[in-house]
Parts: sequence; C-alpha cells; structure tokens
Amino acid sequence: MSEGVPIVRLDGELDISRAASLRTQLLRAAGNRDAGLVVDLSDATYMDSAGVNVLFEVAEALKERQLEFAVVVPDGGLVERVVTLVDLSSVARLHRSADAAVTDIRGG
Amino acid sequence: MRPRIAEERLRALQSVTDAALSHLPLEQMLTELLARVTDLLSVSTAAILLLEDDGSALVSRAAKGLEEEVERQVRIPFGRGFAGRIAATRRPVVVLDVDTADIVNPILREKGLRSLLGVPLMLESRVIGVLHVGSLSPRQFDDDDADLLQRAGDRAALAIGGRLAERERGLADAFQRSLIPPLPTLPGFAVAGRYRPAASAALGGDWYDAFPLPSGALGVAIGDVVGRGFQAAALMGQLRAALRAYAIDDWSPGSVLGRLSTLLRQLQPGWGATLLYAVLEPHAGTGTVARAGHPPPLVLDADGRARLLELPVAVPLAAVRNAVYEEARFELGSGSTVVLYTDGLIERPEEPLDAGLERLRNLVEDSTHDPHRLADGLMGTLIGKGSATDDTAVLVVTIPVLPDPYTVRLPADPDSIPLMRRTMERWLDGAGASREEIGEITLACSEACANAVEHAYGPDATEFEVEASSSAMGVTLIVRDAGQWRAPRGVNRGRGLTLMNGLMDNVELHRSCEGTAVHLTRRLAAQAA
Repeated sequence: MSEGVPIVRLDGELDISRAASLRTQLLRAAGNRDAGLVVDLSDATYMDSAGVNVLFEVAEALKERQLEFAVVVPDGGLVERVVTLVDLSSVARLHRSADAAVTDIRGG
Repeated sequence: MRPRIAEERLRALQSVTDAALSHLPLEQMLTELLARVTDLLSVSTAAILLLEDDGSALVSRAAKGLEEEVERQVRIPFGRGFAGRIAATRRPVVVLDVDTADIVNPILREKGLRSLLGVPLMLESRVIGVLHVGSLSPRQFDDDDADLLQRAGDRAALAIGGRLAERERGLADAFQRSLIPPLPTLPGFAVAGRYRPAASAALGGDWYDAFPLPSGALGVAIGDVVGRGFQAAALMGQLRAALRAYAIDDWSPGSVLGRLSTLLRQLQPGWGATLLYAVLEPHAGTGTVARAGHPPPLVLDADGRARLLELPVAVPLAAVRNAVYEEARFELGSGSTVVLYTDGLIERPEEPLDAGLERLRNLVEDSTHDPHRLADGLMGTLIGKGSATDDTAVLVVTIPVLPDPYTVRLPADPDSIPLMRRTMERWLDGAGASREEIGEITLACSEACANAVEHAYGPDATEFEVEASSSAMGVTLIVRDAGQWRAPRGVNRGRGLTLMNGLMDNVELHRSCEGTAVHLTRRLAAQAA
C-alpha cells in the first residue's frame, strides 16, 4: 500500500496575521505514516517573511521526521517572486501543480 | 364607614408616604411603606409587584409577611393570576377564598392566606405595578377597604414612580453611554456615529459599531433590537459583542448574520432584531454587505451622486431557523462615503417607505463628505430638534482621498501591519503604481514595519510611522520607529531584509539616537515610460 501525501491548499494572503494559525495547521497536516506533505500556493496572492518563515519551519520539522516536502508555486506574481528571493528551493521541492508534486514525492 | 374610623384611617394614610420615607433607598422605602399598609388595614401580609420594562410580567419588589416572594423573584405574567388580573383590568380585585381562586403565585397558598385584596399602582394612567394585602383568616374585604388601599397605592405609586424614574435615568444614561462605542481612529477611514433616543424612553434598541478587522478591512454594523428598555439594551450589548467575535474570526457578512440569528434564537427566544453588517475594503475598491431585515445603506460617490444599495431581501435575525443571509458586493472607491442608519431616520407615519428612502437619498446627494457634518446634517434635518417618536442611529464612514505626501502613525503592534498595508495599497494606487508594483512595494513596506514593531520597546517607542511620497524619481516610503535597530537574529530572521532588498530599487537604513528610519525607494513603470 502506498503511503499518503496530504495536500494543504492555502489561498489568499499568507501574512503575519495568519502566521501562527498556518504554523499549527501545517505542522499537524502530515502523519508519520505519510510519505510527505504538499503545500499548494496556487491560489495564494501574498506572502510576507512571516509566511515564508512558517514554510522553513515546517520544512525543518518534516526533515527531522524524514518526510518529504513539496510546495506548489504559481507561475509569475508576487508569491513566486518571494519564493525565489528567499530561496525556498533550498528546503522544498518546487512544482507548478499538486499532481506533479505528489508524483515527485512518491517517486523520490 | 363610620366617620370616626374613616378619619382615623385617613390620618394613618398620611403616614404611608410621609417625608421621612422619601430619603430611603427604593427597596427600603417599599418595605417601610408595606409595614404601614399592613397596620392601616390590619392585615397579615402585603406585597408590591412592579411591571417589567417590556410590560410582560410583574416581579415582586417588596413584601411583608411574604418575604419569599422577593427572594424567589416571583414573576407573574401580565393578565394571569391574581396580580396579573389587577394589572390588566386596572381595577381592584377581591379574593374571598384563595383555595377556589385562579392564583399563579404558589407562595400565597403555601403561606396559608385565605382572603386577598389588590389594587393597581397607577402613574399618569399607566400601570406600573400592583399592591396587594392578604389575611390569614377569611375576611370579606369591602369597598371601603378597597378604596383605602387604592388611595395608599396612589400615594405609593407617585413615590415609586419618582424614585424609579430617577434611578433608571441615571442607570440608563450610564448604560447607554457604555453601549454607544468609542469609534476607532484609523488611517484611511473617517468615521462618525450619532444616536438619538426616542422621547418616550431613555433606552432604545438602536446601535452601531465600527472596528478594524485582522485583514486590515473595516467592519461596520448597525442594528435595531425590537423593544425598549433595559432588556432590549442588554440584548443589544450581547449582539454587539457576539458580532465582533464572529467578525474577528474573519467570517463573511452573510455568515456572521446567520450565526447571530441562531445565537439570538437561543439567547432570547421570541425576540427579534434587524441588523446590517458590512466589510469595507477600500484598498480593493469594494465593500461586502449582508442585511437582516434592515434598510439598505446609501453610498455617496466621489462625484456627488448618492445611490441606495440594492440588496437581497432578508428576514430579521431570529425570525426563522437556519436563516440564510445573502451578500452583495458594492463599489467603494477613494472619496466615497457610506451611510448606515436605522428606520427612525426614514419612517414617517402614513407615508410609504420609499418616500422616506428617496428623501434621505436626495439629502445625501451633493452633500459634504465630512462624516461628522454629514451625520449632524442628517439628524438635524430628518429628526429635527423636537422629540423623536422612535430612536435613531446613524453611522457615516468616509474613505478619504489620501494626500501626497502622506504620513500614517500606528501603534507598534503586529496587528497594525495589515492595516498599514491596506492604507499603503490605496496610496500607491493613487500614485499610479501597477497592481504588481503595489503588491511588491507594500510587501517591502510591511517587512520594514514588522522590524519597527520588533524594535519597539520601552515607554517612548509605542508607535511607528510610515511617510509616503512620490517624485519624478519614484515613490519613497520612510518607516520610522523610536527604537534602536537590532540586527536580525536566528536563521529565520534575516528574510525580511532580503525581501526588502529584492523588491525595492534602494533600501537605506538610518540610525540615530532618536530611533531608526528605513528608506525604501522604487521607480514606477508608469514614470519610466
């Protein structure tokens, strides 16, 4: 039986006012029997450093538990710009679609 | 009645409300008064019940020989039982035998009372309560007894009425003041509220509120609780708190109303309220509104045209189970004004509602965008200086055009950052920035603000400010705080600076003993062309 890959879709603005609840939501999203976690930012319109820091913290937590981490980043726009500037690819696999992200985690 | 006894009794009656009583607190005065009444009529018990504000029931306020009545807060429905019948018929009632009479109050039987006599307490042709006496042995109360008790009751009513009015006026004033909230002072919004109570009752059910939402939008609400008096006012206080609770959790206007409707059905079955709640997002050029049986808001556009928003019809709160409240979006640009009001502003006897709405629309059209003057103008013209028959509330919110240069000052608190961002989005839009530029520049600005909030410590550093200006060189945002710059600590802390540097053309840090200033500059595409 293949291991699960939960997908968390985050829409709207991932800013300092949402950071605390995002952290809780993402840290609970994947269980130890899962292969990894996909965070889908396709419908996110804004992300500040507080939002970015949550993704880095989640990446670290998943790594400790030996789970894979992939992030779906929309093509063009502010969120991609931010992801590039802070070099999120150093801690997460970046993809354009959730399907591609899940396939990558299962294959990897 | 024999003359001598009548005279004696009359003299005794004077004592019922002599001057000494008038200095006692209300409850003590009533107890003392009852003691004198029991002497006067040679009876075993006496009690005073006063009518609730809403007229639905009588509640024991003082008793002699029936003290449990007051302790148990016995409530007698208006029109039912012995006391209820007296209040409803406004006539004395005699009960010869308690065992065979229609009695609601169990204590009368428990105490072994045999015969009763009660009279209404009248004040200016209004029933305010009931005074009754009882006898442990069978007694045939006659017309003279009833006459005497009524005269004692009339005197008591005057004393009670004066005392109640005095006390309730004081309470009502304090209560009303606590229910009309201080309106927030926020960048990018100008808010004014007015409330005028009805002439007949100090406490009405109209209310309004305005508060910042976590997203940086402004929540505005106006409502009308059906009914008057303390109960209506208390309910309105609960609704206001509940609305804020749901709103702060980021529920949309329709969802907030649906939840409040369910809550109200549980909180006060049988009560109803109208309510309108809107989320104003001028940074997006829109507002979202839902209503529950409330008249529609009016929007005065920047060009001076006034329009009544066309909203889906919806029942008042608590009118039906699982009510669904549809939302409507409306345009809300810089320089426009939203007017919320309660029906007291538009309703006239014997006039169709549309006429009142049109009168309001005409008055608002071409009027000033200054919210205080507009609110005063509406109250002055539509309500006048005379006494209003219904209470009236008005809430006016103006979305001012932001000047260039423009300075915003906010508390050094993370919660301030979304509001600052919304304000800067609007300012940048006015300065000609593209959508993409607005997103990137406000993100850089938010990062600088987050730093400023983090630096803020000590008594002098409770605020930070952003000064925005544009020139041929582009836009410059200067974020100042009174704290000392602190180098980012920890592996996750440097990303704010990375984003600022990546998103702006130039980032400069100026440190002095007065604090830290971050200068963010960026050339706009529209200027380069």
